[in-house]
Amino acid sequence: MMASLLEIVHYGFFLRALLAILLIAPLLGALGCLVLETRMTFFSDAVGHAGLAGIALGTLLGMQDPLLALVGFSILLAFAVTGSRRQAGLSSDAAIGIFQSTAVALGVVLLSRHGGFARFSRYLVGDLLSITDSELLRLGILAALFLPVWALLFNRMLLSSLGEALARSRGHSPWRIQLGLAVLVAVVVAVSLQWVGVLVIQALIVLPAATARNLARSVRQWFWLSIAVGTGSGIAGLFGSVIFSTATGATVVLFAFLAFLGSLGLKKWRSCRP
Amino acid sequence: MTESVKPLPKALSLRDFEVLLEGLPVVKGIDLDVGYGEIVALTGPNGAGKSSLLRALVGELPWKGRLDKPASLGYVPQRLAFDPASCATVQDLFALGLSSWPLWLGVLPKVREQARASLERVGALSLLDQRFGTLSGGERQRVLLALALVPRPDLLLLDEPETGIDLDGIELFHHAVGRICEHGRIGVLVVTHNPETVERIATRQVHMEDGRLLESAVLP
Repeated sequence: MMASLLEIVHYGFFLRALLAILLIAPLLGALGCLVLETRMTFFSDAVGHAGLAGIALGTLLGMQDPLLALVGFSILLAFAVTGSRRQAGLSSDAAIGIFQSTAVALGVVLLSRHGGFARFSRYLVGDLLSITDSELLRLGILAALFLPVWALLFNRMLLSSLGEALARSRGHSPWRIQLGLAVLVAVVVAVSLQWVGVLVIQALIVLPAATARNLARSVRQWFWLSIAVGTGSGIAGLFGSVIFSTATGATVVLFAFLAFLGSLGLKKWRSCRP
Repeated sequence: MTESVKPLPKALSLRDFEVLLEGLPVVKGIDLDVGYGEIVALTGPNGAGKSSLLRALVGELPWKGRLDKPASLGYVPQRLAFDPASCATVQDLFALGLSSWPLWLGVLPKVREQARASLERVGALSLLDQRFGTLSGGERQRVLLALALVPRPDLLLLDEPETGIDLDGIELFHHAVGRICEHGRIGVLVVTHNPETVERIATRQVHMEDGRLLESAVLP
């Protein structure tokens, strides 16, 4: 098995998948900290599911690669959810529930037209091993753009999640901050979707951050641990998926869950120590 | 709606001030001044509009009328809905509030010094590296007070700061607010149900009912 693993490492598709993991996993791990803190877990899930409608619209418009439609639709969803919370006073879960189920319904209706739904199953479970050089470049650009935006907004986003009035008293606008974070989540999820899969993307955002939170003693530790857990699970999941011939995204999630269980045990052990 | 943020002889001045909730006025016809060095206690029964008034002053609720307030404002909320599992330490809170340098790259030495100095003023320096979610109600309020004091505000707004705090905690909090006002040119507006807060720290009491100011009394 070891020999075949060493052999597979030399294949181009595997190296591309490994590079993709090294780009996607830290992004999702970093994003997870704020998603967890701002209770936006279900929003990230909603963007993933609503992505089906974006893909459907892109296909309907005759796009060879529906990524642009997918990103555009996800940003629209971010505006719709955040705007309806502000304008109509809807609670977060109600706004997400309304727009997610409508978008999923729209996506399924459009994609299932003429019985073509099966063609899009790669978006449901992800297909990391099929990533091409140009798609990898696209991920690299996303990561490069993400970093400065993240650095610029991180403090005010986290402060706003701790208390809106507190953020306002510091001259920040919680509404703009929430919208900024929602758009950021929407773009990262939309771009990662076809390689990770609609069904598991939420877990890849939440699990590393939740694992890291069990172990960290400050926000800084939390952030870096979340990235480390996400990246470690990603690499382990990639090798695991090759060994067991399983879907990569889902295998990564199982490794991330194992890490989460380990962190719970460690937390318990720490609290029992004299 | 007129708002001014230029330097003022008063820390806060409201004229014909109205607070709107879903378009309807819940606070009406308020004329109120808070001078520098003054601690004004805003009292009244539940639903009188005290907290709504404060929430309008920090921009959480829409308002009409004239509001003159300084640019530098400190605010201590009634209760922070803080996840006890959060990793954020007291020092992290200061870094989030005072600096745009991303916290995941570390806390700047200048911010750490500011945090230490402000926590020392409210007798909470020992809490610097503790997780905020693990603190008691009284400790949290003192940390939030310390945070509200950096950079030094001209006006400090306290929304029922004694909520959920034990007697020792209230005593320490009163002491901290008293010390701040002795040493700084600052106006304080505190919403409170606690007669002891009025008696111990306030220089003037303003009473509200049904969204209106009923009386104002200078305290000895």
